[in-house]
Amino acid sequence: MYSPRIIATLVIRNGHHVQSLGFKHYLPVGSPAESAREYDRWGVDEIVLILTNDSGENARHIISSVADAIAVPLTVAGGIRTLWDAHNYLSWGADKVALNHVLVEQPDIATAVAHQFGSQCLVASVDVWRTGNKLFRYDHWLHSASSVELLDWIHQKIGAGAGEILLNFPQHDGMRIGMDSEAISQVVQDVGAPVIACGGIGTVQHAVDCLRTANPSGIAIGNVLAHFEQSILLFKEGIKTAGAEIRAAVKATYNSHRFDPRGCPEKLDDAKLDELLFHRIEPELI
Amino acid sequence: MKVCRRCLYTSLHPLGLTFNEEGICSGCTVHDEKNLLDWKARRSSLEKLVEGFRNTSGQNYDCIVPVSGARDSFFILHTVKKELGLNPLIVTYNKHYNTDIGVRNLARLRTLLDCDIFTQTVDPDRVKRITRATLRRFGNMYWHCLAGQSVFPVQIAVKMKIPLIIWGHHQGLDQVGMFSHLDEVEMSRRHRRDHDLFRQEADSLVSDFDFVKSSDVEPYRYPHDEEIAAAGVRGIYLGNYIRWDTKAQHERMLDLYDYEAAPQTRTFDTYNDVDCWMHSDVHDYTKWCKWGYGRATDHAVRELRFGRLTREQALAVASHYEEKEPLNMELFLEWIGMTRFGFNFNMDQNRSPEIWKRNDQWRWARQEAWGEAHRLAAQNPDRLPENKDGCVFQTRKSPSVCDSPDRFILIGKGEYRSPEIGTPVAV
Repeated sequence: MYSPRIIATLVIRNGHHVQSLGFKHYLPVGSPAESAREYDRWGVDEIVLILTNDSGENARHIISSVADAIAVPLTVAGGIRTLWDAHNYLSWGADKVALNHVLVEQPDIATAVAHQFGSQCLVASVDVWRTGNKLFRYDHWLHSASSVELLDWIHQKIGAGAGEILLNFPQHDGMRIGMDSEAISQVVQDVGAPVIACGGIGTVQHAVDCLRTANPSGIAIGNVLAHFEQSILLFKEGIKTAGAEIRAAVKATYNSHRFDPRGCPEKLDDAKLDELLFHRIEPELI
Repeated sequence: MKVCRRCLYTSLHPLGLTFNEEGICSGCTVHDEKNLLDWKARRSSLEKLVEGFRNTSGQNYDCIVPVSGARDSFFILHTVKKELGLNPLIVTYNKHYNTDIGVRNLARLRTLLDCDIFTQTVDPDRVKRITRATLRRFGNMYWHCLAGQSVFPVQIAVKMKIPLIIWGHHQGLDQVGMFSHLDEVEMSRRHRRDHDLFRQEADSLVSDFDFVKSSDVEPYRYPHDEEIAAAGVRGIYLGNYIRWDTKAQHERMLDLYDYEAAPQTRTFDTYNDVDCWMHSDVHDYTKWCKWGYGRATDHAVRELRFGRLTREQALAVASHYEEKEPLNMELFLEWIGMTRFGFNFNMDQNRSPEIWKRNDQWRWARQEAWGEAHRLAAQNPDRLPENKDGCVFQTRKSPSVCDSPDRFILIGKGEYRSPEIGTPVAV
């Protein structure tokens, strides 16, 4: 069995890494490369870059600077209109490209990308809209849910050559209300391809809940990673404590700590801190 | 380029800025939370948070509070010590550009609030070499202060195993709305490197060309991840839990502790940077040269968002101060050993081409787009209700001195005040 991947999502707007709230409001966080560099050092398994409005030379700068800063796989979503765009993204340093809206306009592009570069680098990105018990594909360009049923759409895209599915939930994005585990679970059980779930994680518990009930191949975390020190490491530590297998990527560890509801470390006992005073802590040298 | 319909910030703000559909910037929308959130509840969540960090062994401090001779230090320490009842260790990075007011304020701070203090004073020769390097490489003469004051508290926290650092407000949250108050953002290495250090970590300054050795930047190195994780060091910002209003806070401190306040060269705010010869002077001038605006705009925007200035007043006062020449340039040039020509050369290398251009007379002028964007935003401004209190910044001088010929001197410069001390004593 594979360990679920802990993935960082970086939403990019006008060249800035931003916090995204409901696909609508954005708060500027900083430079994409700087954020990616830290997340990589804190032990993230993969990074997903979502370009919301950058293209051309700006996109090249963003993708190549992020790719230069990290060692883990990089998926880039947003702004791909042609096979040539996909080629550019990959040559600038992306390991995978994610297609979303263009799959509606040009249904053949998935097959073309898969044929040219292989399914392993083609991710079908789908925004999910829940109406009662029903799941639909949300169209970000039209700001509304389409009438296409989610599972039909996903099967179609896997048939066309997509090697992975990235699910995002505009109703959960930036809301810190947890993920729609039920919807994710439906998709995971129904399709054979790896599924990455994104949207709604505000605390470590949200991630744990989703992994437990839906068992996706990876979960993507966004805004909250920018809120505290070594956030990736803390998420991984929390998930590990809850019993899931996680790739241990770095030497730094919080294994003697208890955590508050947000997932931040609580204070150690004073006796333990006193003991640490005389304990030499070596940095990890690779 | 785009300008906010409410404040004066542009889309070229170096910290980044986003706009909503109404053309209001992220800084203004996050500022609105100050009037919407239940600050009583937020205050109690702060109390709950710090409760867990109290020392129980009686052998260590509860937390670390970084301070200086200005900048809300009194308010932060007063809150931590008097209101939250914690036992803090206060730490300060010596900026080297200290004014007498700053030295006196810091002396009063640590004596009136009964605190132990750690000071980091880096060898001036080393500071000068580093400052020459940062000035040459990215036009900044304040990097060592920003790097030092943002890292010294963290170094002490990991060394002494004090896992809580309490900072004042989060600059990115206040200026450009990087985070909502509800995000309860905490200190991180990512933010420090990206924004406080202009993406230049200490080690990137090491170079033979600038005579900066690896050992020279040791005081500015962030502790490694393993050390931070072992002690579980966290840095929280009071601004997430207290309705942050620096003007009102300083005015309370003027009365409570005789906080000294004095006029500044390049801004109307007489409270925030009185401890430094350079901050509202040469340092702010470098910001103007690089980004086409200065601290006066930051301060005017802050006051505008509180409703104490109108958009027109804010623009007028900002323009008035930003055009001013720095008064302490000679002092700095003499300290660092550089000519004005060399300084200007370094500035011109670092001017943002999106903002500056040479005009017909080969003088620097802001791009037309700057004026155009401001005109556009002013056509249909978003106005806040006016605050009737107006916007007056006080000054205050305290009679106390630090150097004294006939008293114990806790920390001072030891200046000769009476010439007879040097004369021989006849027995």
